[in-house]
Parts: sequence; C-alpha cells; structure tokens
Amino acid sequence: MTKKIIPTYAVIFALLVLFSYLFIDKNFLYLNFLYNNFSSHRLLLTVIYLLFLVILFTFYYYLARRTENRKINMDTVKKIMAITSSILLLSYPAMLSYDIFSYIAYAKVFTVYHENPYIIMPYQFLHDPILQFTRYANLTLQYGPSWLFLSVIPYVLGFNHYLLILFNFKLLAVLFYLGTAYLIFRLSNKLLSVVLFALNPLVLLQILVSGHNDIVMMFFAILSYFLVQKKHYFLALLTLLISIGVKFITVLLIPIILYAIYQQMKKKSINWPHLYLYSGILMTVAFLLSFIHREIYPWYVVWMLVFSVLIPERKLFFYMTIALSITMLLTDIPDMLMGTYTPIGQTIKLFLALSPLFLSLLITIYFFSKKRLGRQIT
Amino acid sequence: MAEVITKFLFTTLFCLLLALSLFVKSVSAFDMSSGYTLPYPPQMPGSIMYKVRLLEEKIQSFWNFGNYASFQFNLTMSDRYLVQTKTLLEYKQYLLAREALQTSDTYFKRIMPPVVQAAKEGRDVSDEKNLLVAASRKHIEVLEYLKDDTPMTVEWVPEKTKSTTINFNDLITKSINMRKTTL
Repeated sequence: MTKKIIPTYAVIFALLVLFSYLFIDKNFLYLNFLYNNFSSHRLLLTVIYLLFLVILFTFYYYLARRTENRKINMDTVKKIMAITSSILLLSYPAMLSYDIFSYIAYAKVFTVYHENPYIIMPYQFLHDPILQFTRYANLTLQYGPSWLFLSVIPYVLGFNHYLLILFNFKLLAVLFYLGTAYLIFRLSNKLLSVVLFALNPLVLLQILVSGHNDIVMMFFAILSYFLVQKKHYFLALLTLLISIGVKFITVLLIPIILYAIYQQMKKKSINWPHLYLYSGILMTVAFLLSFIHREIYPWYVVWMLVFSVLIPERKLFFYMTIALSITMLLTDIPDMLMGTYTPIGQTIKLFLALSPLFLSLLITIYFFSKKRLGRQIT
Repeated sequence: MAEVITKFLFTTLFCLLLALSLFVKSVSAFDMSSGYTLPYPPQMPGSIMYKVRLLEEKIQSFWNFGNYASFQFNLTMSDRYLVQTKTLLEYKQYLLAREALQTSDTYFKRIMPPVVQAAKEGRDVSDEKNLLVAASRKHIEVLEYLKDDTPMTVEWVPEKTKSTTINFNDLITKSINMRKTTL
C-alpha cells in the first residue's frame, strides 16, 4: 500500500491543480484564455471541493497513522513532500484567496513605481491593468517591512512578466514551507511532526496553493526557537524580529524567547514542550483577536499548527488545531456556494471558526474540575 | 538601578510613540469634495513637544519617498507651516513667524517637481494638480488676510542683541506670487 501512496498523491494533486483553474477570474487577463464558465456551477464546484477535502484529510490521517507505526520512513515522506510541492506549485493561486495578487501589487508599487506602499495604495495607479483583478488595492500595505523587502525578490526575478512573478511568489511560499518542515523535524526529532504539518490539507491549500505569507512569518519564528537551542541568541532575536516584521503577530512570542534565552544563559533546564504549548496558546489568542481586526481567515491556523505538531502528545491542543484545520477549510464553502459575501455566510464562518476553540475550552474546564473534585474527595 | 530602568522605559516609550506616529501620519486624506482645509495649528516653538515634532518631520521626509508620497508630504508641511505662521503672528511672535513663513515657502517650492517627474513617467497626476490648485488658492486666501492684518514692517527688538527689521509686506507678497504660479 505504501508503494501506491506516492502515485496516488500525485494523481490527487494533479486533479486539484486542474480543479484550481476552474476558478480563474475572467478579469485575470494573463490567463483569460483559460477562463471558463464553470465557476457559475457553484453547487458542483462546492461538492468537488468538499470531496477533495475528504480525500485529503483521509490520506492525512492514513499517513499520520502509518508514520506513527513506523511504516513510513523519511525517504517516503521526502518524496511525498517533493511531489506535493512541485505539483501544487503549478496550481492557480486564487482558488480560495486573492491575496497573492495583492502581494504582487504592493511589490510593484515599491519596485516599479518607487513609492512607499505604506503611504501610497495600488489603486492610485488607476491605469495599471493589474487593478482589474487585485482585491484590497484601496489599502496601504498591511504587512511589515520584512515582507516588503522579501517580496521584492520574486518580483524582480519575474523580469516584468506577470505570470513568472506570480509563480515566483508561489515558489517563495514553497521554499518557506519546506524550510518550516525541516525546522519542525530539527526541533522535534520526530517524523510524525513533519507529516502532521507538511501534509495537513489546510497547509497544502492555503500555503502551497494560495501562497499566503504566514508561512514566512512562522518559518522565522520557529527558526528563532531553533537558534536559541543552538545558543545563537543574537541571531535568534534577529530572526524573531524578521518574523514580526512580516505580519506582527509573532510579537506575542517575545516573552517566550526572552525567557528561553534567560534560562539558557543561567544554564537552567528548559521544558521546551511547555514553551511550545505556551507559544501555541499565544498564537491561539492572536487567532481569536484577529476577529476584532477584520475576520478570522483559514490560513491563520498555520500560526498554531506549527507549534501543535511539535507536541502532538498534548492531545487537547493538538486535536483543537486539527479540528480547526477542518472547520476553517469549510469556511470557504458559504462564499463558494453563494458566489459572494453574505451575512449568513459570515455567521456560519464565525461558528465554524470558534466552535473547536469553545469545545476545547469546555473539555479543559471539564477535566480540570474533575481533577480538582478528585483531589478534594481524596 | 531604578533610575536605569526608568530611563530605559521612557526611552522605549518615546521610540514606540515616534514609530507609531509614522504609521498614524503616513496615510494622509485630502478632502477634495468640500474645499481645501488647512490643518490644526501644530506644536509651537517653545512647547515641550516642538523638538519631537521637528524630529518626526525629519524622519517623515525620508519616509515619504517617491513622487506621490513626497508631493503629499511637502504639501502637508507647507500647510502646517503656513498655519504656524498665522498662529505666531496672532501672538505677535514676528521673528518666529518669519521663519515659519520661509519654511512654508521652501516646502511649497518642493511640491511641483515630483508631480512633473510623475507626469514624465506617464502617470496620472490630474488629482495632484487639482489638489495643488485648491491648496494654492487657500494659501493665497490666508496670506491675503495676513497681509491686511499684519504690520507692513516690524522692528523686532530682542533683549541683549541687535534689532531686526522684518518687512512682512514683501515676504507675504513673495509667498502669494509663488502660490499664484501654480494657478
């Protein structure tokens, strides 16, 4: 069965790549020759999407189990990851989110127009053809300077060819995805942790297909943990600063890193699993607070997932992030089905986003009270 | 030790506020539909925050790179120093008012070149030109008022130093003529 995994995965991802091209925007002039009217068959598209989710999560569970039982080795995992990355690199990135077009727009404002994207919005260049399909062009850059400077690289290496620039941004996401998987292995020393992260369908769809920059932020964040363990404290703080400079969220991890550095310098022992748990909880707080800022988006789960896979033995937290991986991917369904944002769709999304968190909280409270009651009785 | 911690906390707070002001002030909104509006009077010379304001303006001058951003920045600064001039004249601080007016003129001269450069690069600058015309009209309106309200020449006699004669009539006329070139 293991021998058939790799070709099966290849076929599934190839089909997913084809499926992604059914979502091409008719205003996306660089690929409008591929535009089809399939996107009007909303119910069919939604059913196919759900089918993909079921298949991907089934394989995810199967591979995780086989890895846990040591029936899959490192070479097989590497091959699966290589196939996953290379095939999904070719997928159309705006299947679930248009953010990648915004990344390109802001990089263009900076590199081509030589304007400050923190002051000048892309929509101020009214005659630019990319505005026809770029969303949120009426905002200044919402990310930090690390992301701005990093985004210059794929833009410049695109030599002004939009499609090349687009796939360069996807390649950037792929490289950071592989880097993160590598760091997860170095931090946990467990192949299971790598599989739980790298083959998580949410990671596959939101990072490898959609190319979100959250993976860049989390790569630098866990790199700082790795560097603290290697006693490179200055570099650890620098990489954490770079991470904060991508999307600001990881500012919440400063106390954890400082505490770890302090403990290392005092030559005291550190309970790293505890620190990963606290980091994951802090990222969960950030995940909840994002609702105040705008909306809880599916790709935000990556913030917690990176830490939860390092401590899969912390079952409550781990299962919460897996549950969130499932429910947050389902939040795309109302918009996919209705073709637009609707109040009922937003309510369903909020319910799907918060229900695993509340369930975990209730379970925690239940077991905590049970434990206290048990102690009182004894 | 407590003193060191206090100094460190104040320095950190100061740096955070300065950094925040960059993001708060970065997005400038010009209301073109209801006529041009000048800003509120800024921190005046002699106030505690005046030096902070000058430092912030210096940092903003680097932050606002690019044609559109530098157009907005120079226009904002020109507006700000014009309002400062008006306020200082109301308080009869003639020497400081002259400096403020000259600074406003310096920033005003810097507004047009980025617009010209952007036009050369094939970018749409019609909004910027309209804004500049509206701003110039407003500046002229304020300067005409100041010309009527301010003595034509003022003999500024500070303590222990030589007196200075300030010809406000000439200064304000020069400023008005500068604004008229953009109409």
